[in-house]
Amino acid sequence: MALPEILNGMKVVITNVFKRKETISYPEVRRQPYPRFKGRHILDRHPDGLEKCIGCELCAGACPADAIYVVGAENTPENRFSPGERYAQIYQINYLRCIFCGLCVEACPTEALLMTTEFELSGDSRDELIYTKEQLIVDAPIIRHWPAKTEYSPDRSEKVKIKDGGMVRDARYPENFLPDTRTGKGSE
Amino acid sequence: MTQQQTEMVTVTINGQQVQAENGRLLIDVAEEMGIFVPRFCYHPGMKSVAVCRMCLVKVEGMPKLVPSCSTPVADGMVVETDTPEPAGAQEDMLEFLLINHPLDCPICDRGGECPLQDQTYAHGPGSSRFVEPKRTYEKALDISQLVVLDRERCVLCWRCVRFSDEVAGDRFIQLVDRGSGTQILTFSDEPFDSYFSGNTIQICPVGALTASTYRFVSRPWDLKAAPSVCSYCSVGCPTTNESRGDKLVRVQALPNENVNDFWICDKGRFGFHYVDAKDRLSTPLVRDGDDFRSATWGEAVAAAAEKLGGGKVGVIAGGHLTTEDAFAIQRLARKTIKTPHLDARIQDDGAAYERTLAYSGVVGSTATINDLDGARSIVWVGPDPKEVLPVLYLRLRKAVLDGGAKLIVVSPRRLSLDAFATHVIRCEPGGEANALSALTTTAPVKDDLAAPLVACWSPANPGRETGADLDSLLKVAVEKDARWLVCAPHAGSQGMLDMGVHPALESGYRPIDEPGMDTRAMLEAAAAGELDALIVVGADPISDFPNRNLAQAAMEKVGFSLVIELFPTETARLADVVLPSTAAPEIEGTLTNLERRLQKLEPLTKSPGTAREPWRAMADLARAMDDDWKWTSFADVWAAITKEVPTHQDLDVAALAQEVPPSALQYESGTEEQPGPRGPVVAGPGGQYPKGHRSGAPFKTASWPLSWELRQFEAKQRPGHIPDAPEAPEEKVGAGADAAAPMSGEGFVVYAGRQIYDEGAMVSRSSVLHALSKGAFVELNDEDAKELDVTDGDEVTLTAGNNEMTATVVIADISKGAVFVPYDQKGLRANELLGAGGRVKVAKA
Ligand code: SF4
Ligand code: SF4
Ligand code: SF4
Ligand code: SF4
Ligand code: FES
Repeated sequence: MALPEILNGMKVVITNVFKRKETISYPEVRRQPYPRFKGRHILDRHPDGLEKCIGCELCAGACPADAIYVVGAENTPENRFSPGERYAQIYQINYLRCIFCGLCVEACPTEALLMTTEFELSGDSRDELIYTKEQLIVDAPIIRHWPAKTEYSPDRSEKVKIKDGGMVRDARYPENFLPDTRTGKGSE
Repeated sequence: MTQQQTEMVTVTINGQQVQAENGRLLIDVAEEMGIFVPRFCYHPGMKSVAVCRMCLVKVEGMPKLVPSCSTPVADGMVVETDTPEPAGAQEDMLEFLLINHPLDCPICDRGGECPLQDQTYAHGPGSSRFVEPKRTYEKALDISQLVVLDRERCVLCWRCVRFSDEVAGDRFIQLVDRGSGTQILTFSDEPFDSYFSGNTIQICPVGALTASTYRFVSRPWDLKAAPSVCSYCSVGCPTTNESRGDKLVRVQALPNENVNDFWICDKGRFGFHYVDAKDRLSTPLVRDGDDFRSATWGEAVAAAAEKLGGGKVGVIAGGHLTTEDAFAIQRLARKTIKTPHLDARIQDDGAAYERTLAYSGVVGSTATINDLDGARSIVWVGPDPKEVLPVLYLRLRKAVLDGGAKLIVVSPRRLSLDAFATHVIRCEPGGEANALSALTTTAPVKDDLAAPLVACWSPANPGRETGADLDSLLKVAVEKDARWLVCAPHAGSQGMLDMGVHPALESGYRPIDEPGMDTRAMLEAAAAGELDALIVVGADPISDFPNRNLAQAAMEKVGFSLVIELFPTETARLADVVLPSTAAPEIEGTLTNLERRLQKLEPLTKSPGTAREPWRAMADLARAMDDDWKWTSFADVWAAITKEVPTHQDLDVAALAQEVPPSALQYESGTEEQPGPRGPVVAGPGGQYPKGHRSGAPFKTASWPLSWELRQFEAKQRPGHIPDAPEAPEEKVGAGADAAAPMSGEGFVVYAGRQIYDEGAMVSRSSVLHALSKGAFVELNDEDAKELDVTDGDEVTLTAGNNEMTATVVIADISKGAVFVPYDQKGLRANELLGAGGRVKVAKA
């Protein structure tokens, strides 16, 4: 007879009825992603408001999914978007292609491209999921937290411990990285 | 050329023994063995200077490391390129170079295809010990319309300086100051005036010289590339077209030692913006009263076919079309419409290329461009090659300055060649023939007319071509046992002659007993209302024919006109049906250059709308006239060509197909497939490079299979066909022969010539080049100028018939009684002056 099998099966069901539920009723209930969760990108700005992105296309070159499209253009004194000569005239990320690997963020030489924890990326059309520069760029610079780390002194003779919140300076843009107590959660 | 027996020596490089020709450079010998020695200053197209010290190698028995780019191989040499000693030196050189290098790769147009990047990856140190501030300069300087200079990035390799000095001969860039202050600059007091400046961008091993048209436009990994051929002139320089998405963004030289060495002119490099000009035709147009309405392709073809069925039809074709178009045009005319009236000579109206037939059995050149290098003497009769056939000018210059050839120039005005010519013979316009006849008897010129001799000719007398000068030149050539370069001016001109778009010649240079009308006769007939229909393919007679009014009247009076064009040209505006045409980067096709070398164009971008190749239009017209050719592809056309054109019957066109080799854009560093000495250069996150990464393996210029020479086939067909006592053809072929203006009469004789940048339909749509056109000027002899009481820079009025134009005087070395005017410049339409009799009155404005 099949009865022992049925009872055996029901045992699994009954024990699980009394277990703590893993599912949450999203979207009414939302879970906070981990701080280093890789979600949708943003483009950061310098403290003076200029765009950090210089339209170099290195992110696009690094992207294994070919999700990024950048077209550079030249800044003029009247129309300045970023420091230096070059800025991104077009910047798009196609979230239908992106696999959230973060290689683009690693490739970015100016730390313009960052990833937030936002993962709610859905839309009614393909077009909607191609994020443009206007959608990606933040209004105000993001203040970031730098973890403790060890660096070498310029002559490499001694190690210098930089404590949490220590100032990390980019030589060209000194006000760039300010000490901060917030965690690296992105723009929100 | 005599075959020289070269001595072979045995050298050992990195433990491998190899036989090499004595005296060759170590760096080349190693490269051929697959051992890449890093380099910056060495360039195979120029002399070694050994200034960058990047290519240091160890040679046994030498006290110090030696630069391999200036060390010839010798017997028994034992060389090491990758042992710690030379490798360490190479690493140190890179560290030195990077001391002052700004490392702004992210905003540098060279990033991703930069020899400095690649070689630093392959041979450089991982980090720099230099922590002091770098020397800085003001960033991007526009040193011309075309070239942008960033001095910080320069590695002082002298390549650009040597190019402008050695190759182009128009010094426009120089290294100034000393030590770490050495910088590259142009001469501030002289205009940057070079037709070849773009080559410095391609050879600069860093991003110090970049193209204004390519600034921040793309990255190498975005680009798709296809080999092509420049369609501006009949030199036919191989190029690589590169597109981002479907937009053509860059054209670069594809080295071919038989044609262009490593170079192309700025027109070929920067003149591609016409392909996406705003007014490019993308849909067929059918006349609707005073205006046009767009139509479908089928509708337009049917409308045209209806009118072409009977009556007297003429066909005029332009110079930028492919061999396939030419074949289709003559097939439609001769086979389907059955008209003998077709011609492709417009600006060069009357140019009697067919005169060579009597001497060699072919119409066109018997010499190759490479023959110039081995020549003892060269005769040049024709327009200024620097303006008209720019890269041929470079080859002539090289033949004279490097090869030691004696150059004899016959011309009514000073040409750029005069600077290095041995003999310059001034004649009056149209007087070239007499001057040439005297060559062989006049000392001292006759002593310098020695074999091997190459006689060069190109039509230079618009409106008064008689063929007499070509005849005289050919007589000299035959007498001296010479070969000749007979250069039809445009990229497609030779193909037109080969395929028989000529009133007196069928394809394969077969003379016709009853010749049809040539361009002038057709236009005259049309203007007189005697022509029922005119087909104009890729040509603009109103702007180009040396009689503007005649062409205009012809287009107005002709019963019906079909124009196939890229743009709404003046001629197209007067047509009844207009079909949109394709541009060279969009098509699979072939072009035949001035030495009758057939080269393949591969398609890259899409043509707009319903534009189609002219050969498809021809096939569609034929089908609409119940003559179905059943052509659907390039291969079908070639199947027909090999069947119907005797000179081309053995041709395997598939063998011409070629992809851009990864090495074609650069001849630096290694690739994954062919690593440099320390393994593959390309590296990147996740191994996804190279995604179209094309900074390639050492480039070899020899045995480049992109082209094919007709010569090999003729050799089979007409063995040694040079008749003993050649008979000069008596009369000019075709009707309407005599356009020659009498040399005596009132006013000055107009001698017109094209300039590199003019109002031509293609070049004028490339705004950067259009801005460089010289505008309206007139060259006067200084005696004539004195009589007119004008000097350099004065404005004068030129009057011919009802036409009056103003131009700026340039006092020049030109035969007395003649004025030189540029052919097609803003405010100066030479074809109006020529049309009004070929003489002008000049008066101070
Ligand atoms: S996260 Fe990865 S897949 Fe997404 S855009 Fe960046 S590189 Fe491309
Ligand atoms: S986001 Fe960064 S890597 Fe991407 S284009 Fe901008 S600066 Fe370059
Ligand atoms: S500008 Fe370029 S080609 Fe000229 S010297 Fe500098 S690095 Fe060499
Ligand atoms: S020389 Fe002629 S074929 Fe060569 S790039 Fe210039 S225009 Fe084109
Ligand atoms: S010294 Fe040999 S390449 Fe520069």
